[in-house]
Amino acid sequence: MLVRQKNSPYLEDEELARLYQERQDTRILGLLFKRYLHEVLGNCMYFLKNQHDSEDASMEIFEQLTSSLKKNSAPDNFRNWLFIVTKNHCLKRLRKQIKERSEDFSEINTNLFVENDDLDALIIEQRIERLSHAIEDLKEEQKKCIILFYLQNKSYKEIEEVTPYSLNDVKSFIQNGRRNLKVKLS
Amino acid sequence: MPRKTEHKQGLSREEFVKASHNGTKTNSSADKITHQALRGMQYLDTENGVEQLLTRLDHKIDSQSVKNRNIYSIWRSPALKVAAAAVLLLLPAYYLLQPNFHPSNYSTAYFEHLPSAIPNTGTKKGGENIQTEKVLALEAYNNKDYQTAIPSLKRYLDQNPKDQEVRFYYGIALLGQEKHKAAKDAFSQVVTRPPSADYLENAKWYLALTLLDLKEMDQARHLLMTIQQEKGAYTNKAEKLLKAIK
Repeated sequence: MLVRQKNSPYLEDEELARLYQERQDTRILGLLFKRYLHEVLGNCMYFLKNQHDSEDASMEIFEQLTSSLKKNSAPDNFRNWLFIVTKNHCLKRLRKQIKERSEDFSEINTNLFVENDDLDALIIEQRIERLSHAIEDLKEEQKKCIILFYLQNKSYKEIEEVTPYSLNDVKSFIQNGRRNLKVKLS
Repeated sequence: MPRKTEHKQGLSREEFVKASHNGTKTNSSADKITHQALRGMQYLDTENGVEQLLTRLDHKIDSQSVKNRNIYSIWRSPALKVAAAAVLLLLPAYYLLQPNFHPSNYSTAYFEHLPSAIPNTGTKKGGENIQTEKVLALEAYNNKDYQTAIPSLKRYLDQNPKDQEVRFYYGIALLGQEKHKAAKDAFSQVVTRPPSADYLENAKWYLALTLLDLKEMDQARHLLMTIQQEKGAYTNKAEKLLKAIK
């Protein structure tokens, strides 16, 4: 049987990006994007903390690339640039979700969703990024309940149904998790 | 597609999948991008694992790339995923167990993608552009993205008609897309002038599958008997197939 050689013929990322700009052929961008799809998906999951949202976000990022690479010059380091695009996209998505639950989030940090001239979008997204990292540091049961309650909009009862915890446990984990987040974000 | 870049940090897809199976805390040397991506894997809720999820997304990207967005949307349904996986696993076995095995498309049961064995030191004929075409085509081929690979491989072969190695993979891509007549032509050329004995053996097998799909049964049977007698890598498969088409 034929055996694949070690030095397989590949083009550099930047060369592929340039070819995409030259030919405007989305299939070329598809090849490039798929090189890092595992990292894009993994980072989406890290920020959004949900597989299905992350699948959608990954595809949205691909779509976003098709237009942004057409308009702008190819980045010097595609992987690093893609990571920034991914992070920003996820933070925007999270911001929307948080906005929908602004009342609940005010218990953690009143500044997470406030938009005015003094607090621009960039600062809010930086805070959301901190929140995302802070959630990761919570104890497992607190993390699970906080994500379900705040990011997936589930009620106490629904959380009780999808986790092994009792209703009282759920309430307690959310309360403790909220308190811990408040401390971390203050 | 899985790819290891030498000048940038990060894991290839294979390494990433392996690391995610081993747990997210095992990669202390990973950079921030990889580290966060691995930590993100804790939110994976599919039973089939990250590999299948990435393959599904690959398909979506391919689909979106050719502006045909609806084809893969059915894969969102878990029930359909399970059903499709079961069918894919059981189909070849089912056919082989049937006393009167006459599928309309033999390559459905027997076709296998063969990764390209062409190293990065090919012919320099045709200049830089056509070499780029070859590299692009083979990467798409290795991605099993035959729709992208076929036109690129054709452009390359038009400029380098004597490159029988590339023609062989062109044949597989064509067969993968069920373009049987063109695949027959490609494999026949490789069988006539094979670049090596390995390619000859492989080309004969794929040509036999193509002939069966084209219902050219006598030629296919003759070729399968030759493969069977040569006692090579495809002998057992040829034997089973010969019994099945009696």
